[in-house]
Amino acid sequence: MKILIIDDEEDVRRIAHLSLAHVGKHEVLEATTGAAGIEKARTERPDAILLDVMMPAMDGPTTFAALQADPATRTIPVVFVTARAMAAEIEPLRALGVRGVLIKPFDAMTLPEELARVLE
Amino acid sequence: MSPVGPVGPICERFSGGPAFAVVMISAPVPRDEQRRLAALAAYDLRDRVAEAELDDVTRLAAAICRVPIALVSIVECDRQWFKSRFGLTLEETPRDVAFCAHAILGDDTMVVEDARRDERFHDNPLVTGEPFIRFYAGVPLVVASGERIGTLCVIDREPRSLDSAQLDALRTLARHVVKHLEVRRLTSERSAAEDRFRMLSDAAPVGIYLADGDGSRLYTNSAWQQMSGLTFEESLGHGWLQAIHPGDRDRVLTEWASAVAEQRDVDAEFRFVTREGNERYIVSRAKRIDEPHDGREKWVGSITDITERRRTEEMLDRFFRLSVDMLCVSGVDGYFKRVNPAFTEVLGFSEQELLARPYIELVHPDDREKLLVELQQLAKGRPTHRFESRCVRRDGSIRWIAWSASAVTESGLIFGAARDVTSAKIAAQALAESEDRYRDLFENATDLIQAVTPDWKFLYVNQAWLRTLGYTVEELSGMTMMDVVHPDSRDHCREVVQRLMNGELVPKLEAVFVTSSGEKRLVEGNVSCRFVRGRAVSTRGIFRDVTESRAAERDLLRSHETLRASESAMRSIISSSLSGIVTFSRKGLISSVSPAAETILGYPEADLLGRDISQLLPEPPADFDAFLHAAVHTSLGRVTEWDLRRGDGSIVSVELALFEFETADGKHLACNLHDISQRREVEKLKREFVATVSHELRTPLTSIRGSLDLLKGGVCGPMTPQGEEVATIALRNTMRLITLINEILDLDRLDSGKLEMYLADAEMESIVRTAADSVRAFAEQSGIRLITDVVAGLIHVDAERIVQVLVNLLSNAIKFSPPGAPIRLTAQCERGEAVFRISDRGRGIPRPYLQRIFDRFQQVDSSDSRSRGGSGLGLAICKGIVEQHHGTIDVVSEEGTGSTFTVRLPLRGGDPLNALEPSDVLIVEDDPALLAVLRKQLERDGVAVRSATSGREALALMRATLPRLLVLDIGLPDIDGFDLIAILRGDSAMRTLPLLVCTARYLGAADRACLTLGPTRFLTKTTADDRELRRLVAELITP
Repeated sequence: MKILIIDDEEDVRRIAHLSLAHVGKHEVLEATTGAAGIEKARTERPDAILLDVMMPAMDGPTTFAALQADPATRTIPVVFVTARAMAAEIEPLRALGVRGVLIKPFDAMTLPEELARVLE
Repeated sequence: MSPVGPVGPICERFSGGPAFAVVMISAPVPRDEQRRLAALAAYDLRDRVAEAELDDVTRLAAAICRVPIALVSIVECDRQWFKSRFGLTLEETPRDVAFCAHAILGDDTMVVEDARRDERFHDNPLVTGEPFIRFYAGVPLVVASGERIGTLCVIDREPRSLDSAQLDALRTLARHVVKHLEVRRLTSERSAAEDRFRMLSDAAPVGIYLADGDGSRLYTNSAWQQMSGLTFEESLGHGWLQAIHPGDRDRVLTEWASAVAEQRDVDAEFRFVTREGNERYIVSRAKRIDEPHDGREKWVGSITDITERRRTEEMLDRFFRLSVDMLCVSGVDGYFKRVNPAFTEVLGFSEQELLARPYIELVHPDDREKLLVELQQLAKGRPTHRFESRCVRRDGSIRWIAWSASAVTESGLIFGAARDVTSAKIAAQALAESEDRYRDLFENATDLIQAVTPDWKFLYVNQAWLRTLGYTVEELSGMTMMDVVHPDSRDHCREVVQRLMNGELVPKLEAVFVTSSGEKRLVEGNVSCRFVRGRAVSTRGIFRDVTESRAAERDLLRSHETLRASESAMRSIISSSLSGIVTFSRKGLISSVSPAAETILGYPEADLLGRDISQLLPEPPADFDAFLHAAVHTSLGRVTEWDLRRGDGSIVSVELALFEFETADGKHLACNLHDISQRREVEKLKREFVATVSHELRTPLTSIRGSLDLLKGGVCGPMTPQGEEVATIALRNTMRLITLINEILDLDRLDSGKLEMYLADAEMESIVRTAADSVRAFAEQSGIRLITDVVAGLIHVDAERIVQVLVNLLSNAIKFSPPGAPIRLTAQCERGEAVFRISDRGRGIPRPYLQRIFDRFQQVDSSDSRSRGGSGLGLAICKGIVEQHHGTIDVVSEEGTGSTFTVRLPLRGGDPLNALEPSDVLIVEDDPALLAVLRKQLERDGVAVRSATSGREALALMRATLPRLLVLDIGLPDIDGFDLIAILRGDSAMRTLPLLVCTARYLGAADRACLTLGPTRFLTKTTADDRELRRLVAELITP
């Protein structure tokens, strides 16, 4: 699978990248902002997008809305990654129509498994 | 019988006529046969009556088609019969042999050129026998509604055919037949309607007429003729005008013409003059008839004789105008509709002025409320009798008016008669006042009354005088007034009497009299002088013995001084107090504001004195008295938090303690204020800080945890054993940090009320299983046996949160149990609650810690946080979650033997409060504000209640429906609580009733013993909170 990670935190991006590439054997792409992520999604057509919720400038929900608005990216499944772990915070995110929500800090050894489960 | 099935339930089978041996094919019955027969019936064809026009048609048809026979055949239910026949003697045939029964099935002409060669007819008896039909052509007769009621047909005894011209002619003739039948039907319907109209109109009690647009009469009924005195013939054309009064004739004609021109109904009122010369008052109304048959507009009208009504009205009107009493008619809108001249006379307003303003404005402002009450009674249908109120005349003077009135509820009119009773009222008042004075003088035996001549001789004294001073009438005859007056008072008395005789008024006299036994009595009273022809003949005095009351007053004065002293002490305490103190009256009026309170509230004392305390609230309450009452009820003797509005409009948060104190002028309230704005601000900041920091911490932790995961998982290459050990330690501590952050966030949310609950029905079994599953690995690792025992039951909870609580308790139990020890998790239903118990055989909790174990950061041994992990927040979170579910959590523990944690949650449907009917709880409370508070507290828990505000009402309600719980305030207006309980104890049905006694004061054991029915609990109003009320109610109604 080709997976695009959109996250402003370099370290988090890197860990997720290593996990998905080495544990999950996926092809991994990275983007550091929502805007860059959208561009990459358009050109690279990944099979799934891991999207951070809290980002400066363009946050996760805004980025997701833009991806949904574009016919080229509308069908790519998106999974939010958030540090806000409460049900009250997660439910509104789910309601936006994403495929799933993963919580930070995640277990890097089981992240690919989790992602596969969410995407199923 | 015919092989064709019955054609319909409404017709008789044809049974007469020749009996044919029938094998031929009969025509099927049309699908809409019922409708066809109904249409046929409407044409009223009058069997067998020949009609010349139709006979002409059949003759013509035969001639055109050159055949010997032509018929107009009507196909009925069982037969066809010939409305007109040419060349045939037969009058009818059964339907099942009729050619026409076939012909009416189609829209167009049916032609049979040779019946013997047609399989439908070759063996038809009309073909094989008389009249030996060979040729047949029939056109269906289609009437206006589309039904085919029969045919026009031509018949020959030889086979033949028709050319198209002949067929065309046949169709034309058939249409002619139909048209003829239609005209006949319409004519007969109309004449029937006209007959009905004439019959009705002649029987009607009102006069009825029919007129042309120009007013000439085409018809009048007998009632019309009777009223006008004209005959039918005389009334026709313009003859009716003879009956109209000459003075009304022109007007009636003009009105008629203009109404006709404007196409509206004609309404008129006029007089008839009969032959005998009597005048009758008539109202007439005519309406245009929409569909004139002959193209001329017609008007149908009715007239009613209103002479009697008119005369009654005139008579009443005459009385109305003549009446000396004030008469009026008014409407529900508060305005007069009519007033009579007496009205304008008494009040000085003109009739227009009276009609133009709401009549309540005429009434003196002080009497308006009284009047409104009276009007409400009137509206309920109770007549007003001799209701007195003051009215203000146009010139501003006041008159007393006595009213009687009654209302006609249907019309909303009030009929009133009133009379000016001012002079009688004044006289009555004067009389009443003088009688009062008289009674005061002579019936009030405690006052000393005396009359004395100018030279101090006694004229008379009353019984009280003699009794008080101890003299007899005989003794007085030899004495002067000066013998009774104490020497010290004599000069003063002489001076007063002198001034009176000079015509001055002296307000009050105080003197010391001496009794027959020499005792001094202090008296106080009024003295007046009676003059006859300018000369003073006597002085009269009324005195009261004030010796004792003066002494009492002195005592009171002294105690006032003491009070004043303590008051001033209190004042200085208040003014020097560091916390703000505001005192106010029971009515909420502010009486003092301490300097510290001035600072907190941002007002100088002077701005607040005399204002009510709502001045200090952010929003003024809708009902101040109710607010004050409730506020005092909830805050007295307790510390509560409030937001107040400062002088500059900003809001200040205060902690407030309310207390009561007493001064010379009664009870007062005071509150002790503490500015907690800063504390609030800090709390808020702290919460925000915690939230932000916790989220910020999670991000780097994501990287740390992920890195360690990958390292340990060998993703970054193989690790040495030491390396793996170190990574494991780092990872374990990272996980601890994550748990701690999660818990801090949970607690923060519990504190700020932001922890959202997703409540749903959940099986206790599934909750227990989920909790057990998530700690099973940990338990096995520690060599612990986990035993679960659960009964089926449904609870309404946030399942994820309850699992969190159980997992936390289980983890604790595992952590503190020795290897191999069992841990038991049970779930049961007890008394409407779901009860979860977690028991371990661990080291137990030392007694001193049991109290604090649910507080934050409490750990029995501070080294635990290192050796066993855990933040010390887990139990505080558990408690918070359980309490949000209206449940409880507690622990029983013995050092060395183990601990049992118990979580109780309301069972779904098993909460006893949910099962209550509105009639089950009866609150008896005379104070409406407290009643509202109690009611609200219970209603918030979904408990509807009945209430009574007196003991009697309570008894009545209880006897109507026995409640399951009585909530009783013991201070009631009529029967007090003790008596009520005594009565209930005497009643076998109520003796065992559960009882909750609400009391504002502390009750001793003896009192409590008197206030017991069945299970009984006591609730002290000022200290109880909502939860306690709920708990007691739930407890008392649980069997």
